Amino acid sequence: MERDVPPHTNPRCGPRGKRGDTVILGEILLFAGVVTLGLALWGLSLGYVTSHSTKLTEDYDRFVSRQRGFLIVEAVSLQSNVVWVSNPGLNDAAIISCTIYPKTTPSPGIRYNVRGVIVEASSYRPTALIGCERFPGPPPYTVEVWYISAHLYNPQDPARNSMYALVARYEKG
Amino acid sequence: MRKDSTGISTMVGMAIIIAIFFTTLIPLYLYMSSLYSLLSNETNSRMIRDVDRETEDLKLFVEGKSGINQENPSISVILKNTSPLLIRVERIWMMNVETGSPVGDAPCIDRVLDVPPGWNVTIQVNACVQGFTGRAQFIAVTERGRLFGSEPIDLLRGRIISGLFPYTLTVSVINMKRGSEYTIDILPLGDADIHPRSITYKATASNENISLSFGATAGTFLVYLSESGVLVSTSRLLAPPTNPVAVTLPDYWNAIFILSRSPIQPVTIDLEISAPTRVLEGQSFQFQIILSLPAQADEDVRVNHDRIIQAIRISGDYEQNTLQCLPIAETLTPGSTSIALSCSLTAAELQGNRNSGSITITVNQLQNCGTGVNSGQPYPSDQDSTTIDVRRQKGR
Repeated sequence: MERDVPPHTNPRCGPRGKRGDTVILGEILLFAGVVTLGLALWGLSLGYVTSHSTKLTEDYDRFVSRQRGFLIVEAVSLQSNVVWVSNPGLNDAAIISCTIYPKTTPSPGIRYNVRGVIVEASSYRPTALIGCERFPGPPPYTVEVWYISAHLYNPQDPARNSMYALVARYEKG
Repeated sequence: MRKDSTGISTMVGMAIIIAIFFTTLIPLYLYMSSLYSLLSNETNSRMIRDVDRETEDLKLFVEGKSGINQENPSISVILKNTSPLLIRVERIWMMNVETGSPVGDAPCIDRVLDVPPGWNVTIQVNACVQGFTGRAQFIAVTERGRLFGSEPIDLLRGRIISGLFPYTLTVSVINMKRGSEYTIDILPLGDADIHPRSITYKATASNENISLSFGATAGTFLVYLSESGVLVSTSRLLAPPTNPVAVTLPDYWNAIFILSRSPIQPVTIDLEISAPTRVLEGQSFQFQIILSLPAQADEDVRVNHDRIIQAIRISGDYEQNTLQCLPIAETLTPGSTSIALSCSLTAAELQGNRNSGSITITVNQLQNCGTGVNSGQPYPSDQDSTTIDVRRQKGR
């Protein structure tokens, strides 16, 4: 004769079933934790790599721009203070400063007196820079033209422009 | 069941780690490698460009023909590529060496020229040197950004001076009049050229002669002579028969203008005796004979000291044979005053009760007080006389 056993007291499925639920819950939590942590770590890694890559790209871009930039001063008119420049480099150049000063005096540095004049790369025509600043004194003179790659030029940020600026010099008897 | 679930979490975790590895670290590594590769390429290509730039070697020679035909080019720049690379010249500037500026504020040649290794390329630059006078230099700008310059050259009206005037035309002017300005103007005919084309000279003495040389090309020239701004008339010329005179180089090398000689009129020299007004008896004193040549004189005059000494007459209370004269000035120039003689004389002792006496010195009028340096003509002088009081010495 079979005994009536309440379901919750069934030795076959009562206490054993409860233990199984806990285990499953634990496994689910473990799974969720692993997935969550994994995704978070993945996101962090992607973010770090992305930002690092961006910064790296910018640094390399500036470095490469310096390698590609090349401006030459071809001729100077001391009467009209006009300087003719050309760009045999590979990047367009933005002129930010042009000065003519006696060779015996120290360089006046970047004066921001010629802003935003773009000299196209590998141009077959020279560009005349009008408005070069002339400093008094006896000859010989040094002509100094500061420039940066055009794509790095930011008219709103002169300090940053000067950080990446290159210089072309020309001596005039 | 438990064993299987734990395995799934581990597998998922491992899968995520692998995903992180493949989606971040590996791409980052690959990206950095590619950037490094790009950077290396850029550095290498920059280095190659710099090496190429340094290897470029272009020599510029300026060649000028002494030909004078304006229609044919006379100045050219020779570009000689002595490097192993093809050099592309983008521009040639002509710089004024004196001012340090480009002539015309624009490139002389603004077209691309390819000069293969070892080749010479000649280009005409007449257009940009046209009419330029001064010292110039040609600068070539290459595609790689190098500047190459020629030696500075001297240009005269767009032509190279060296070798431009192979002949010399000499113009002489004889017997110029003192104080007048003489201008020689030379007009080249046809293709002839000469430098300079005009010279002015002021005669500083009568009948002065000059000879001037002008650099010239072959050809015919008209030579004009003007005196104080007026063309010299043929009546005033002993030679040539015309003014202007035509000279053709290289057949003739000179033009000689012989002006009729200006007659020199001697002027009278002003003679003065400078002596003390009184002297004591027995005292030796000095006096000078001063000559002034008027500014109107046409030449310098040499002083005849002996004649002047012979013309001195002395009377009164003086010791005989005590006159001694020393020559001072040798030559008088027009408008000048000079001491010609410095003489000394001794006053005599006063005899008797006389307390005073006198000495009179006279230099008679002379017909040949001096002699003209250029003309040799005698120059007369006027007469002068002075009286000196002689006083008795105290205590005697």
